[in-house]
Amino acid sequence: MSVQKTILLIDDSPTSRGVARQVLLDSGYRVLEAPDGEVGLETLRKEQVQLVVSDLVMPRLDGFGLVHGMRAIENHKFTPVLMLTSISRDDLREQGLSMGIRAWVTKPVLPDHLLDTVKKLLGP
Amino acid sequence: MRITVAMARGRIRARLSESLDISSVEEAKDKLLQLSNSSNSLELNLSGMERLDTAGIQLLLALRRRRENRNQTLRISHPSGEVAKILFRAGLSRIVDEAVVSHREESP
Amino acid sequence: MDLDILRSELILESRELLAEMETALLKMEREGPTREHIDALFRVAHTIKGSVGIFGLDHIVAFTHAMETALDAFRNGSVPCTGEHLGLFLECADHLERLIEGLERNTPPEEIAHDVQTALEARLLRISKTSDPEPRRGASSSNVPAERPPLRPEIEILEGRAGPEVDNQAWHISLRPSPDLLRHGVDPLALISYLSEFGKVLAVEVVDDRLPDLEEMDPTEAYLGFEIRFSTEADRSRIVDAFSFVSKGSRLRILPPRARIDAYLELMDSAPHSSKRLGEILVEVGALTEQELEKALAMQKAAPSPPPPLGKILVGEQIVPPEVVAAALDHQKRPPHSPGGLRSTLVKVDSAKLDSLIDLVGELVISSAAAHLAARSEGAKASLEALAQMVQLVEEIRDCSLGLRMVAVGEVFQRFPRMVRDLAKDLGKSVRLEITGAETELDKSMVDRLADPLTHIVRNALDHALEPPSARASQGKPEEGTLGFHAYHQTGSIVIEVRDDGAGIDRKRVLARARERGLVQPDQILSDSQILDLIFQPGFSTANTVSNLSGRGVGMDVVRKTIEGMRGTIELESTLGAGTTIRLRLPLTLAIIDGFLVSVASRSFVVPLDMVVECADLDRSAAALDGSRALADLRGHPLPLLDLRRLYSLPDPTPARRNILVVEYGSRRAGLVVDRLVGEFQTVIKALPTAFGDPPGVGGTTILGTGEVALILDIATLVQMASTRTSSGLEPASTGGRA
Repeated sequence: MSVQKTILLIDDSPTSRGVARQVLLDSGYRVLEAPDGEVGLETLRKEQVQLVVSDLVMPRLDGFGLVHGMRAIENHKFTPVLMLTSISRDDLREQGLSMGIRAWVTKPVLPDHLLDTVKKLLGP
Repeated sequence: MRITVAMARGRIRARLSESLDISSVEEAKDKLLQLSNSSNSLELNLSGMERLDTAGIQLLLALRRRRENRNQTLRISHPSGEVAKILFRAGLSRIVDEAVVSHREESP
Repeated sequence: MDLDILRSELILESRELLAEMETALLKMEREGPTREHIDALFRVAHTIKGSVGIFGLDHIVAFTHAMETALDAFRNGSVPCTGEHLGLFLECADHLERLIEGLERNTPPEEIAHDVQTALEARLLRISKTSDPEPRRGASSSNVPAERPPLRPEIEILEGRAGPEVDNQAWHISLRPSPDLLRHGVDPLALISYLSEFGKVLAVEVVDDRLPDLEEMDPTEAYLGFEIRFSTEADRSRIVDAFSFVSKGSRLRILPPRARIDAYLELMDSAPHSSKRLGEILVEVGALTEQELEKALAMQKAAPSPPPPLGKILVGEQIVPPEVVAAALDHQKRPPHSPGGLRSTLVKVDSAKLDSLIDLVGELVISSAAAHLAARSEGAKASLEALAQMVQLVEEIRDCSLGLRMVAVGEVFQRFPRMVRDLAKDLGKSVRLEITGAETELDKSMVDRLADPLTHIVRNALDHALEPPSARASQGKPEEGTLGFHAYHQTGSIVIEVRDDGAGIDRKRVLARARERGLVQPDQILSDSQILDLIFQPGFSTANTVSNLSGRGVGMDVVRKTIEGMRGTIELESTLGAGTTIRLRLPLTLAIIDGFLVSVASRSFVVPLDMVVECADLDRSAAALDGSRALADLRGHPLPLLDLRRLYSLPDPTPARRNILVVEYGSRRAGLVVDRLVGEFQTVIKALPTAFGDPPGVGGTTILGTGEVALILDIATLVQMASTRTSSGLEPASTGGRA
């Protein structure tokens, strides 16, 4: 990868973040991290990010709140969001889709599955 | 996206840098349209461009189409390595008029 | 990925979350339950569940899932949260604390207040049951996303029904994105480069017929279509899966390799305004040839009238096979296929066919050499030129066909990670496996035969050599033992080492055992290497003998026999307390070798070239061959000599000048005394015809370009003979052979 693509990883669990971070770094992506949606939004206001990988249930601002907030940031109106969650309810998924969240990866995160999904969105 | 414009004898040379992707195409469209309307001779230098996606590519193609329809010239030049790679992948290496980067060119 | 580092982080994180949970619960007791507090509890249970799931801690996943489900019932208001519930959740928090503690101490899950957990889960379940109108997922459902992607693109697989098959071995993929695809954060170009994860994108052409003028365009709308030529071994469901983010309203058409021509017609028909342009694009990407395109267009004209409304054909012919639909629907349920990358195409060939091919190539090498020789002696210049080219080609054919038999030794190693893990687990040992040189190639037939001996060696190492963690720790060794497989090339052989850092071999125990078994006389004195060699003696030991102290006795005689059957050798090095290395040395066993030709009494002998170290003049190397002193002094180093004339009882007279060919096998050298050094040459190993008997140190025969038969010397045996003869001071035996 000649020009690194940047992924913002938002999750309140350091463990989950640790797994995802390692997988993504190993594949040559640049990784920024935030512990919740609010910090995530602050990062997005400052940084060019090509993909947001976010947990759904988080303190302060959850995944949906984050997506809502980032659509108001000029540079991130259409930035893809990959939602990581252990909740698999169709209504939540429908709600996410209506917000433009196309990619869902179910927790616990299987490194291969996460990576495969990221590659579809960003290219290998 | 950043644009640096130089104008000489009615000819515009613009250097597009950073990114031309979905995050910036709306702004880029306005700027490119403005540039296109300002001169019959336009050159876009892509040497500083780091990101280009489908949105960016179709914007360049639409600009080219507009120029062709109006018999105005457009030169797209000096793609960065990354850009050359992406264009090659899209089968669009031909949209670059002048390549400094050695990359396999498809016959136009 | 190192999960161990993350594990301590997990414990830390869970503790923090538990503290949060308790704070929330205590506040709820004082202030009454509020939405905010319930959310906080939910989040704690949910986060812990997500994290422990990574480590496969199913018992904690199940428990936190039960908590989460009950809390969700409060959250959606179907059950009111009361003081009684608070008590339950405090108990749950206590139990979670126990679970985390168990995790820290590595307590098996079933030993952590299992009945308490069952009771708590039952109480939690009652809460969610009273609430739930919709059937909920079971405790393990966290691993099975129940969702079905609600929006699917239109996917068609077009195979075609009429007309000839198109001569195209690749897949053709035609993508027309929905207008909002880019706004959903999906970049078709990223998807196209993703394809190269499991195949090769041969060509891409952009279809821009929908692209408006810049001024009218909405730059966030997707206008471009893509025609992609793609080569892969993967099946269609994998291709469909690659486009799983393509949204409804997009159109994805996939034409398998060798689709019929009408499939392409359908593709073109579906874009009425640009059907001609699309045809050209199909030619450009290489999906169709010009001729095929013309044929297709002719078919289009000849179509039975009246032509169905355009587009109707596609809808009318439902060609999507059921498995594709199924694959499209459950694509997110499965973890992705193993990322294949570029898989090479494999053809299975019976190894007997391969052997006869190699044999024939061998004959070819010989006869081309003979032809060359004949042409040269006749001075036929034109023939010589033609032959030179042919010899070149024959050599290439030889290299290719030999390559066919070579496989990476890693093929044998593959089984060991799993085996070592399982064995170590059974034995309560901790073992790290190290593999280097897995790519070292050797003959396929040897790879197959190596599996058993290596398995044997590994078992021994784990059973006996590597100590349990506690024993290792008390000796100041790392608790984790290391077992290494190392393969590499060395002078004409392939070496496979199996190294452990275990207990090493206790010579005293070995000697005692050998005496007990009557293999050694009570008063017999043995050198260190002789003692180690006892381990390979038949009858040295049975499984439960020398056991934890050294115990590499188990069937090592069988291992040695197998290795020697492959013209290989086995060596053993061991340091008490530090570990053991077993070194297998195997010939490259090529059917064709580069040889060095020598002659003795006008008989020809071939020595494998990579075992030749140097040539020397016999008389100058201060050697005396007479009597017992078959030892030369080569620049100050003693070199055991072997006189081929005496060895094979060849007729005298001995020429005035003789030469020494210094050969090396493993770490030992010997000098072969010969009359004449002829030079390098290439030859084919043939089995020794029975007429030759079984002369010592002969590995096979070959036919020279002149038609003469030459013996190929087995250097391993000769080096062995030279050194034992020298050390025991015996005369050379003149056995066998009428060569």
